[in-house]
Amino acid sequence: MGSIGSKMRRKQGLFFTSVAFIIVIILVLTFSPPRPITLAYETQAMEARARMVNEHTKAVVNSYLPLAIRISAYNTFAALAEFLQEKSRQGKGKYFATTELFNLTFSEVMVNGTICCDIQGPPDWPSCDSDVKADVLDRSKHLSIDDCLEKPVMRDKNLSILLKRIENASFVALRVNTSIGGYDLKDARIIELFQDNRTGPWKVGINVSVNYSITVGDISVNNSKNISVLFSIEGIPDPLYPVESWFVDEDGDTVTGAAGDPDERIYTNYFNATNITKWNLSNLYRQADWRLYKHDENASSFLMRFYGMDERSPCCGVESLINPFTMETVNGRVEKPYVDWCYYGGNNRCTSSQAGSMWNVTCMTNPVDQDTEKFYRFAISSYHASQYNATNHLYGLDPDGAGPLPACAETPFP
Amino acid sequence: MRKKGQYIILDAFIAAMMLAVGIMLILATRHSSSYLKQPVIASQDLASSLGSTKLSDLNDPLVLNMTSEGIITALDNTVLQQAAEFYKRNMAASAAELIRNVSARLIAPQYSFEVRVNNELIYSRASGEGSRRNQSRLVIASRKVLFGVLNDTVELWGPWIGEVTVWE
Repeated sequence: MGSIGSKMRRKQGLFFTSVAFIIVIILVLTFSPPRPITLAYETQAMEARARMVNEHTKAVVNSYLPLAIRISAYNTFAALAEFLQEKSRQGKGKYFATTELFNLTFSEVMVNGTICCDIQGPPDWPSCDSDVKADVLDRSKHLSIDDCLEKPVMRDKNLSILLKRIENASFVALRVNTSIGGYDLKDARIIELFQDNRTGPWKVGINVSVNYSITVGDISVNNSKNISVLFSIEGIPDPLYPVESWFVDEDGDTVTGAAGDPDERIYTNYFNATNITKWNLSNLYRQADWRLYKHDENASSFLMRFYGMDERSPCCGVESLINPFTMETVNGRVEKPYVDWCYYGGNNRCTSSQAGSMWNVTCMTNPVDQDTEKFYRFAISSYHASQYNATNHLYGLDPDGAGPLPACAETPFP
Repeated sequence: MRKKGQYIILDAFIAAMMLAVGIMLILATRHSSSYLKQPVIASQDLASSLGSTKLSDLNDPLVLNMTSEGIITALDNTVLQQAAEFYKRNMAASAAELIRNVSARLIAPQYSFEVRVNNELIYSRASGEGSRRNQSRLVIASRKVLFGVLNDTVELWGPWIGEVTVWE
């Protein structure tokens, strides 16, 4: 009996313990978090990395690249306006010989910040002619544009430096290897500039084709994309003013010698759109005084002014008024309308088509005193008088300033 | 019979202990898992919200006020971008005020966090006295590359590293 009782006790004990043990196992299996499975963890980590690469690629390609292109292109225009000014000042021609040479030079300045510099500098500068394609393509002859101009215009804003910065920041912050490039600077088509109905007169468009590669560990994105950016031209120097004003003869050759010699004066003006839409005499006065630009379909566009093309641009032509108060050598000897593309345009599009239709403007034209009163011998064509709504305020052009002045129709003025 | 009763009680007691220990182990594992996950999610959420929410999408009186006063000029900027722009413009107080205001409803009060741009402290919030980053068991940082232009001009700032760090 003793041994049977002992067996019973053992069986009873085994029963309760076993039930508890089974319950604990069931609970553990049911409620404990799943053990990390290598593949699942790997998948999760890979998903996180893929998401990060995706977000970073979007930020770089959709935000940073357009921004970098805009910054470098804007500064390239400013630098090339300065370059054209210096080039004409040193008698090396007014603009680039061809549009292709301009585009090649633009691409190189924008991407690398270097240029075929034919501005006279120290003797150790390499010899290069910006109007010869072989020289423009031979980068061993090129200088940094800032060294060429001897002033910091581009500084560190060329595309290569801006892209290097995002590559470095991406690696430091996210351990992402980013590589952007793939330009062939010998191909003038890698960067395409345009102005049309998409841009209107106050913006310029640029298409840049880039290859990019973004890698984290074993996840990689390799692609190429054509990035199109439109940006405002506000604040960029107008090359028409400094290039052409250098060659104009307004002083009657009393200063610079032989007949027809250029006055060698440089005037500058910066693209800045007027917000005036309703024209009257007062606003015409302000437009000349403030030296702002307005759209005119017969004027040349922003891009044409860099190409040296004096042609009409219905979508994008812009014009400013010549201000003889600020531009002190403008004295009426050049008998052309005081509108930049008429006054400086090489094709004489205003004077040839509208000869004999030049007018002074009441309230504005000062026929007597060049130094103290605005605007000495200011004149516009019939076409511009109608564009600025000043047709009723014109009087006959009189270079000598003889005869009584018509009364000013607007009071107060301006 | 007395001995049998004692065995049964002892057996039941061991079984009960086994159940209790099992349940405690399960709860402890689950709690530890959530303890690890929550700050990670909080950090990522905060960094993601500050880094991707545009100012124009916020109906925030402070943002509206700063916009009307001309302090904020680009409503397309994200919150973190705008804080970095303030940093660029030496307006540290405005950067801190913007982050404080926007983050107030984004992260639970028990979490402490700080925002750095280019490794410089822009804003820091401690959840309570003695809540120090170096004493925390878990510190989670999320980073973003920040860049932009000043006042819609061609003056580029960045790319800088924006870092949001959360701890409990």
